[in-house]
Amino acid sequence: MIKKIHPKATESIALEFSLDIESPTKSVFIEDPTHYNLNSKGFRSPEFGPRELLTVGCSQTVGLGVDEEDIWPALVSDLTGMSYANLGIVGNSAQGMFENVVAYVKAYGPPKVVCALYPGMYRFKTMLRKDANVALYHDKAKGLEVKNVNLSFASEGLEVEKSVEYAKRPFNLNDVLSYEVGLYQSLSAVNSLIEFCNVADIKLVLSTWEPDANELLKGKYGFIELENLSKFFYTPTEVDCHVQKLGDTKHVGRDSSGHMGSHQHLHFAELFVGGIK
Amino acid sequence: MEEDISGLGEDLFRNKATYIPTTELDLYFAKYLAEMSLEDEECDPTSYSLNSNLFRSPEFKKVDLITLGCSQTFGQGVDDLAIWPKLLSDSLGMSYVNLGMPAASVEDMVGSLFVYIRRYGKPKTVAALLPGYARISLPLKYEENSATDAKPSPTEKVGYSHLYLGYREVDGNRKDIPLYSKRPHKLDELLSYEVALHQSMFALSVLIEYCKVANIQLVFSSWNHGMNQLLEEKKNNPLTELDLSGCKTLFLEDIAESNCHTERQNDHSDIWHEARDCGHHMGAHAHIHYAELFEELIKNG
Repeated sequence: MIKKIHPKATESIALEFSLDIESPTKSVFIEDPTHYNLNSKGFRSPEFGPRELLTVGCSQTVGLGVDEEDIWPALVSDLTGMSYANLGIVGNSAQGMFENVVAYVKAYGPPKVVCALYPGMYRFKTMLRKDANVALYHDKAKGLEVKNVNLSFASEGLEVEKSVEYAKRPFNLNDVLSYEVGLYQSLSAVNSLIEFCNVADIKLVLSTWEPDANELLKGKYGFIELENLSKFFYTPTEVDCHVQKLGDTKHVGRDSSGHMGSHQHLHFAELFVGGIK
Repeated sequence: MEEDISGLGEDLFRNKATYIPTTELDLYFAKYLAEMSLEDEECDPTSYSLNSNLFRSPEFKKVDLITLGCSQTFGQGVDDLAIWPKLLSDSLGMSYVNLGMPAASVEDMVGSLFVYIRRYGKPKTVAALLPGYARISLPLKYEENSATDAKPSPTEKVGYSHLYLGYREVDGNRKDIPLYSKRPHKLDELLSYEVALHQSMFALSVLIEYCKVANIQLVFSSWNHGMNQLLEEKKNNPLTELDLSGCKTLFLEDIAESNCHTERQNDHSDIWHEARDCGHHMGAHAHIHYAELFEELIKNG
């Protein structure tokens, strides 16, 4: 038997499933007059406990820039009469969403329904070691950090940006990894959530706010597509349904980072309610 | 949820990546067979009995026990009757299938279990012999990324490969991550092994939590030194949230140094210490030990 030498297992850095309490509503954008009511765990949610509905997602599920009563998790709860908890976390990835659902189920028991609004599949969760690998927005990483990383991706009609020809250590993952790496990781996590909910007898309703992911996933995995998503995303003022007044956030969140407005939240709420029923 | 997710691998990402985790089991394994050249008798004269899905397993159906793992569970270089899944099934009297696949990573194992259960139903028990955490599965878009052992496909833009991160050694020491890289960037050189650690542990966590909610008994260990070390560290950490109650470590080095089971050595004398393939896989003695370990874990429930 050949005795191989392996790198020493690293203590205290392996992934654990726990509710991520790292500032779930923290935004890098400071010009946002929106008021955020957070529960005792730091989430924009009613207090945690046994609930009928879990909503999970990224900043679009936190509802950055949109008033609490207008965000899709609150609207779905209102429209269905189901008690809920909102596990939206700014910057969350598909892996993070899976971890959040599992952690919640372990802590408070299974809900009847999970509604998941996915970010783009270019975003994945990995571990950064500052002397080897960093990433955009995380270029001053500490020794070791688990972070959600956005890889280069194609905006509508554009080619995916290629990795750079030359790179220097610490390698920025945005520079050296192809989009497919994030895609693979994200899909693996989506698949895991589907299977977990299936055996846990939880009804899972899936959608995405990101147009490229929507093109990729529509009709697959049980994803429900939001009609006119691409139009909503790129030219929201041209969508003229729900003409009642929705306030200053109708077309876009009032934070300065381009999050979706209350009109899109309303549509996603209707979409998820349709999926639940 | 009852939506049909069979055959997801057929077209979902044909234009993005050629592999996704839940592709057809038989297609999945046939790819490995071709790559691993199990027919190469000069290197490996072992005869492998494969089922109609090309797994080294009884035919697929609903069973009591599913065994998961990589080439050590496939039993490369070891005779059909001497591999640990077969020994374990015999000693427990449980019907079984063996989903061991050469070169599988932890997430490959989880993906194959998902597909199997979707198609054939839940087993009572899953026994998993984990590979090292440095082994991960990633897609390679050939014009951008490469890996040491990956050959670009002449026809596909994107392939799927197993990488070993932070695993390469020079004179017994880990090879440093290079200072510069040129496209196509070689991922097994420029990614730190913590990337693989995170990905593998995510997959292990998925396996643990999935089996728990599915009410499937999960027992697991590893043949890999580093993975066993990591599992022991986690078991000794009171703050860990991983449920390692079904886990027991066993180091190949300890088996190699032991002088037990001598009454069975004559049956497998040529493969007792090491398998007869060229890949330095574990021999019949280690297979006996892992079968006994899993039997103990399963019986102790």
